[in-house]
Formats: sequence, structure tokens, C-alpha cells
Amino acid sequence: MFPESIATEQIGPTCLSRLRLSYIGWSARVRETSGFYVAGRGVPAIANRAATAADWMSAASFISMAGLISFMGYDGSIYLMGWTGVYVLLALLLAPYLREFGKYTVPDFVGDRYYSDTARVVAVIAAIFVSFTYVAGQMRGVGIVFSRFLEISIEKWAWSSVWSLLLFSPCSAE
Amino acid sequence: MTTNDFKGYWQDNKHLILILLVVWAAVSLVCGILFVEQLNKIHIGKLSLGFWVAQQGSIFVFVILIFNICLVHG
Repeated sequence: MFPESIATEQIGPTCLSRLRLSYIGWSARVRETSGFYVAGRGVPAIANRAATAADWMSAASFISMAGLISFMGYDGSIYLMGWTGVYVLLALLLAPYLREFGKYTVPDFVGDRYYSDTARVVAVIAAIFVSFTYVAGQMRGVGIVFSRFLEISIEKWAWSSVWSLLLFSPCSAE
Repeated sequence: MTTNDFKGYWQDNKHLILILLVVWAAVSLVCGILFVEQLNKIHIGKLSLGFWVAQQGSIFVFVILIFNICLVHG
């Protein structure tokens, strides 16, 4: 229950904060798949794009990419060109068709467009790898930033963020 | 829409995507990686062109490409 070491007097507040997070997740619950994946299509386009842009200015870009470029010198620009260049690839080759097919996730779309369950499984495995790598970096970045703010160790912060995510997502999916 | 209309639409689509991909490869691979040394000899102010293309210019071009495909698809 408490993989990170918590002092005895902190168990109470920890349980309280986790209950609070679960309650927030539960209040945000939705009934349909479209609600979970695309917010029921109720978010205005500009707000949606602003959220996507904010997702780009996350720990992975600010901390990791800036650090990589400053340490690798010119060779670091492959990350710059790769980052935005692959976005171009997405927009050219994947995004319009994803929308037209009406599927929410890329593995669903791949499985349906190519009439192949093998393709879907491969896409799922690739998606899991990508998400795992990205989230690991983000959690580390979150831990680093907040540990400087509040002088709590990085591991504790990483665990807190992971717990927040774990409690929020299943509750809101009902 | 008839099958011929679909074929025509898909041909135009493929054509557009191919052109945009060529531009994409030209800016990122050719200008940014293969010919950087030669491009670095040209200077804008104090900055060498190859360096600028890799770090900023390519991203401008990518954004233009994305706008292009979005406007075309509606």
C-alpha cells in the first residue's frame, strides 16, 4: 500500500489525499467511450489545441530536450527535427484517416483499416513501449522539478504523481 | 461518388502527400544533416545557415506543411 517509506504520522494525511483524488476522479466519471477519449467532443477546438500545445511544453521538452541539446551540441538538433518532423508524418499519414474512420485509438484504427488483428497487436505493443518511455521520463521530470521547489526527495514525488494518475484514471472511467 | 471519383481523389491525395514528404525530407535530411557543412559556409549576420535551418528553419517549414495538409483536408 505504501511502497515509498512514509513516517507513521504521515499515514493519515496520505490516506486522506488519496481519498480526495479518488473522489475527484469519481466526480469526473463519464459513461461512454467518447467521453473518456475525446471528452464527448464537448471541448472547443481552440481550447483543445491549447491543451495539446501545453502538453508539448512538458518536462520532456523543457528539461530533457534542452539538456540533451546543450550536452550534445549540434548533434542534439536531430531531436528537434525528429520531434516536429514526426509530427508532420503523423499529420500527413495518420491523422486525417483516424478521424474519418471514427476510431479513437491508433491500434483500433490500424486493426480496422488493414483488416488484421496481428497489426492491431503490433500497434498496441508499440504504443505501450512509447507510452512507458515517455511517462517514465515525465515522472522523473516532475520529481526533479518539485523536489527543488519543496525539498522533498525525487522518489517520493515520482510516487505521488504515479498514485494521482492511478487513482484518477480508473475512477473517471467508471 | 463513383469508384472513379474515389480513385481520382486518392490519386490527388497521394500526389499531395508525396510532394509534402519530399519537401519534408529535403529540409530535414538534406539541409539539416547531409549538407550542413556546405550550408554552414553561408552566413546570415553572424549565424551560419546550416545551423539555423536545423534548429529553427526546418521547424517553420514543418509547421507550414502541417497547415497545408490541414487546410487541404478541410
